[in-house]
Amino acid sequence: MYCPSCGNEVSEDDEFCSKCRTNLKGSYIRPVRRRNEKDEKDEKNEKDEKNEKQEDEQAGAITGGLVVIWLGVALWLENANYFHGDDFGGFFLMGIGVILILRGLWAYSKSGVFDHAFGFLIGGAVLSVIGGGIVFNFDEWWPLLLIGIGLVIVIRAFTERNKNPWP
Amino acid sequence: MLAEAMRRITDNLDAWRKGLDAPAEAQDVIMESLIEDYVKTDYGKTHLSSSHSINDFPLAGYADLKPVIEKVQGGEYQALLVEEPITWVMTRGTTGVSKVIPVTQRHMDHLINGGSRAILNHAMSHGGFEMLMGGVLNLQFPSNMKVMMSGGKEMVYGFSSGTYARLNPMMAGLSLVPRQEEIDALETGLSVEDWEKRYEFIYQRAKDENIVTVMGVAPVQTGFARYLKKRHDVYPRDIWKLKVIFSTSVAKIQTKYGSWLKRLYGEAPVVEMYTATEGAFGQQMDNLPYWMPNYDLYYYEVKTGQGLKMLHELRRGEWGSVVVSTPMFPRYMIGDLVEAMGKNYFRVFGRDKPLTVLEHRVYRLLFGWFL
Repeated sequence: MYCPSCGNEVSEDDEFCSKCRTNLKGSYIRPVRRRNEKDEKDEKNEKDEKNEKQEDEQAGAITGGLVVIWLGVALWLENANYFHGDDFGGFFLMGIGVILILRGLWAYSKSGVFDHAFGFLIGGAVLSVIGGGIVFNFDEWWPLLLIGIGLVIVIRAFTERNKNPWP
Repeated sequence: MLAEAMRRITDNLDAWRKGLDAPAEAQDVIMESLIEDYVKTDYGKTHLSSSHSINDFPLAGYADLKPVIEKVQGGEYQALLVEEPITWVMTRGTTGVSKVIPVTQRHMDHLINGGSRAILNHAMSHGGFEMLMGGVLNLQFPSNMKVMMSGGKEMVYGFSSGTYARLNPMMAGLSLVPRQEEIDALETGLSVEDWEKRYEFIYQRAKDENIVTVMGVAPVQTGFARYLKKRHDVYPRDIWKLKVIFSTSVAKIQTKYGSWLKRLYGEAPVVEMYTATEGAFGQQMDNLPYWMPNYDLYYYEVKTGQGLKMLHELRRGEWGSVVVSTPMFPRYMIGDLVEAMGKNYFRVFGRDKPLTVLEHRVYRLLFGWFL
C-alpha cells in the first residue's frame, strides 16, 4: 500500500509513513493548506473551465457582428444600384450562408474535428442555395435543396450509427 | 500484502459486474441500505412514511436541498446526514448553479470505490498495473479555495475535483504530477492569469516526467493542451506517450471530445467516467463508447416522458433526466440527461435544459430509425 499523503510505499503494519510521517492509522482526511491571501478572493476576469465556451461566445459575437455588417453592406450596394431591390433577400441570405460556412471552418480549424463544424456548414450551404436560387432566378432550387438535405441526413445517419454501436 | 490489495481490487470490480448482471437485485439491496440511513435523518423522518419507501421522498435538486444543507453547515448534520461531514466541496457552476456540498465518510467511500473502477478495470484488462507505472498528469482544481464555518469549526474547502484527488488514497499511489498539495500551494483561482499560472506550473513539473495517463475534466484537458500549443508550441502528444486518457464531468465525452483529445494527446484510448461532485455514477467498461452504472453503490431512476423509471429498465433509445439516491441525498436530480444504449450501456448527452431536449428530439426524429 501507499502513503495517502506522499505516495511512499508503506506496509499495512506501519503506523506512520517513513517518509512524511503521516499517521497511517487515522482517517484519510489530510490537513489542507490554508491560503495566505484574503480568503474570499474576488474572482474578476474569471475564465470558464470550459474555455472553449468563452471562445464560442466570442465566435458568436463575431458572427453576429458580421451579419449586421453584411446587412449594412447589402443595403448600401442596393442603394448604389449594384443589384435590383427584388434580389436583396437573396443576396442577404447568400451572405449569411457564407458567414456560417466561415464560422464552421473556424470551428474545424480550432479542434480538427469535423463534427464541430458540421451544423454550421450545412446551415450555411442551405442558406446559400436558397439565396442563390433567388438571385439567379433558379426556381427549381427548392427540390434540389430537399434532395440535398435528404442526402445529408442519410449519409449522416450512417456515420451516427457508427458512433452509437449496439452492445 | 499484494494479495490483499489484489483481492480488494477484484472484489470491487466483481461488485460492479454483479450489479450489472442483476441490476434489479442490486438496486433493491442498495435502496434498503440507503433507507436505513435516511430514516435516521430529519429529512428522512419528514418524508418517509411507515412503509419506508424511497418513493416517499420528493425529487429534489440542489436548490430544493439548499436550506437543509445550510442547517448542516450550521452544525445540525442530522438535518440531512447520518454522520458529520468530513469536509466540504464546491463546484464551479458551469453546468448549472454553483454548489457547496458536504462530504461524509460514506459518500467518500462510495466515490473512491466507484471512481477507481475505470482505472482498475482498464489496467486489469490491459496487462495489469504495469501499464500505469509512471506519472498521472494532474489537471484538477485547487482544494483550498475558501474557509467556512461548519458545525462551529473553521474548515478550508475547495473544488470537488481537487479535494477528491487529495483525499483518494489511490490517487496518491498513482503518482499525481504535480501532487494536489502543490496545486493548492499555488493559491490560484479562476482568473485568466491564474489558469495560465497553473497550466504553466503543471507543464514545468511534468515535462520531463514519464507521464502515462491524464485524468480530469474533458474541457480542462483540451484547454491545457491548447495552452501548451499557444505558449510552448507543442501538444501533449509531442511530449508524452500516454497509454490511456481518463475523462470526466461533462456530456458527450466520446462523441464530442474523444477524437479531439486523441488529436491533442496522441492515439491513446479515451475512457469515460461519469462522475460528479455528488458521486461516481458510472464508467466505461470496454471499447463501446458508453458508461455502465454502479448499481451496487447508488440507486438510479430516470424522469422520462412516460414518468419515472428505473435506469436499468430503460430500453435502447429511451432517455430522460437522471435521479440518483446517494449516501447523502435521496432522490437527487443531478440535472443530466441520459440515453439508454441497450444492455446497461448509457451515455449522457447534456444538461436538462429545454434547448438540449429540443436538440435531442430533432436528433431522434431525423436519425432515430437509423440508430
